[in-house]
Amino acid sequence: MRADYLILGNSAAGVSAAEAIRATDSCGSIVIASPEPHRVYGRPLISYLLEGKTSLERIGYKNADFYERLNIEPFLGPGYDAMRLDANAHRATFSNGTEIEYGRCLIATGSIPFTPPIEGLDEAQNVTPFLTLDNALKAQELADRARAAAHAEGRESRAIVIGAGLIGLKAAEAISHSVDRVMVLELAPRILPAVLDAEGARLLQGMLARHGIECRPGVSAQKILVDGGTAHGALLTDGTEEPCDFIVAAVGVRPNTAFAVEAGATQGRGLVCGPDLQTSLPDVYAAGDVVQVRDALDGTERPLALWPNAVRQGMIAGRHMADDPLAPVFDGSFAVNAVDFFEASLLTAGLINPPDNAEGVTCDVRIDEAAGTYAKFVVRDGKLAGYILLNRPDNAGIYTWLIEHETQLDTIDPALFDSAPLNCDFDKTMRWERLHAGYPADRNEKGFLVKRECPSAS
Amino acid sequence: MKRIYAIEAWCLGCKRCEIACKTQHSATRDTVKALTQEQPSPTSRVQVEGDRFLSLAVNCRHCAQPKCVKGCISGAMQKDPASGLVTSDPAKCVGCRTCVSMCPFGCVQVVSVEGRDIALKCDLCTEDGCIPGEPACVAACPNGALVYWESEE
Ligand SMILES: Cc1cc2nc3c(=O)[nH]c(=O)nc-3n(C[C@H](O)[C@H](O)[C@H](O)COP(=O)(O)OP(=O)(O)OC[C@H]3O[C@@H](n4cnc5c(N)ncnc54)[C@H](O)[C@@H]3O)c2cc1C
Repeated sequence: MRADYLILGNSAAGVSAAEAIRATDSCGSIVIASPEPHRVYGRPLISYLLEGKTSLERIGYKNADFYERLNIEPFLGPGYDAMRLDANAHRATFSNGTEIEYGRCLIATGSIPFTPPIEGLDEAQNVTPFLTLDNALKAQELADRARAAAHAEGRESRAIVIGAGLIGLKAAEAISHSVDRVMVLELAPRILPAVLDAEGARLLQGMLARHGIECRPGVSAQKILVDGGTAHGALLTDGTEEPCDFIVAAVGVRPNTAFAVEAGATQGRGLVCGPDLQTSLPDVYAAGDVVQVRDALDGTERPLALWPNAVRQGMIAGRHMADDPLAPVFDGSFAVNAVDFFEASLLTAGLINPPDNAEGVTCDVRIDEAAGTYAKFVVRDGKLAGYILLNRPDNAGIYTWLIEHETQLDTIDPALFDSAPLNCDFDKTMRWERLHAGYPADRNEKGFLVKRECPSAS
Repeated sequence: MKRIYAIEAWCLGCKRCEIACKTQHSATRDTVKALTQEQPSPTSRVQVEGDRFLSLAVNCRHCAQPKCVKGCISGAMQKDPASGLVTSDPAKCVGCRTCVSMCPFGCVQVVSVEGRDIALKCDLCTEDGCIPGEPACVAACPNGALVYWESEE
């Protein structure tokens, strides 16, 4: 079969691209293929699902009529794993043998688990990653079974989560409602090594402990103790043994690009793309977790594995694929992330762990132990470059805006950092400009009608 | 689309807009009951900032390219392509606060409603599905410090 646009991946990047394509090209045929047998759902919501904060009905990211309304042909389910790509022939081959010829193809296949070489980890049936809806349902089933079996034996049910990154900790939170004890192992010296600093990690770790989640930074699993295909414990790197009823493996993720690389696409830490998000292969584009992104703040190149980034890249790639003359370029980005654990909220953006003694960089830290809040602002060359806000979320997007716009902070009221930032912390001109996009040109700042400028009659 | 604009030159900081907003977004739509009896107590989506010397009422801009919508992990935050209205669906929202970290103007709040954290924001008073002549905050402003005008984007 043939499609004008073939989209591999039915998630944030893929559906955003499809929407952008359809907005430009009303009749080109669009196929979306994915091995997951579900219509598009909010991947980060899988932990909320287990907590009962959403449901299988409400987890859908788009309305039920999305594919039909946009005239997209969805090929969803086992068998629709893209296995091979032939960029010259413009053809993709799927695991069930289906071949699709395309005009343009988008690789939006996201992340897959990175499994470290821990002995025994891939031998047990009661180990699951935590990346997909089906993974989450399996984790819930393992938790329910563990609880029933343990309580029948008159003991506590126990789970081990390997990895205290975002995904590992969200998994731990989700299953903590069903199992009595959750232990989270983390090789790095602190939890959330990628999005927190030492002090913030210490505070959050204490809060998680109050919810029955024990984090063990600096300790990981050396070997999984497996008996008859079932993991019943782990030998830790500190030499101790820890029993468990099941394991969630959340060590890390890597871009799901093997078939693209095999087809000849250039890969660094993710697929290398031009400003139009085209890969090194002609007519093959990429968006989302698979793409290597230049960090606008520290210049490093790596995937920016966050949902908003996938949506933004999908929208941009889709417009280029459909030859929209006004399609914007993608020129790097920086991380902005919000996550909550129980009653705590954690918002982070940009540079949060600058190297010690980095030139021109200062950190402004505000801790209020009583209120349980922690805020850190990283300032570089007089501009905000990053923040951590633990339990101080209000109006955080104003800080994000300052980072994005590289605003010199000397124009702004320093009170901005004491508590929630406000629009009135900006000077008069900036305040007006920020809040008056599209303000009628024939009105002045007092709202009075002014004469429109007449074209001069010279 | 028509947008609400703050004219800070005329703002007295009286917060009538906040009260009108709370009433509009209450169960009873009765100011006294809404402010004194209702549980959960209604949340104002317009915020009066500032002090005696400078004040202004800040409202969702219903941006042309809303960052809260692009960032939303649940699909709750949406922009209606026809009306331009940006709204958050409380049934889908999980209260993660990505929208809070994205909104450049501080116009989304996450509030606990019936035991669930959800994002609340200005809906231009369309809760009943109709666009009113004037949003409640604009109608309540005694000094012309909030206007509702056709915008140029
Ligand atoms: C538990 C969890 C919590 C998270 N929390 C947050 C958060 O709070 N905030 C945030 O910003 N981000 C969060 N993330 C990250 C976020 O989900 C990702 O960045 C985002 O989903 C990336 O979107 P994507 O479209 O690039 O890829 P993915 O969402 O990974 O989707 C990939 C798609 O490709 C399909 N696919 C896979 N292989 C193939 C193939 N060979 N052929 C065809 N299709 C294929 C998959 O089935 C899927 O449809 C979280 C992730 C997880 C797992």
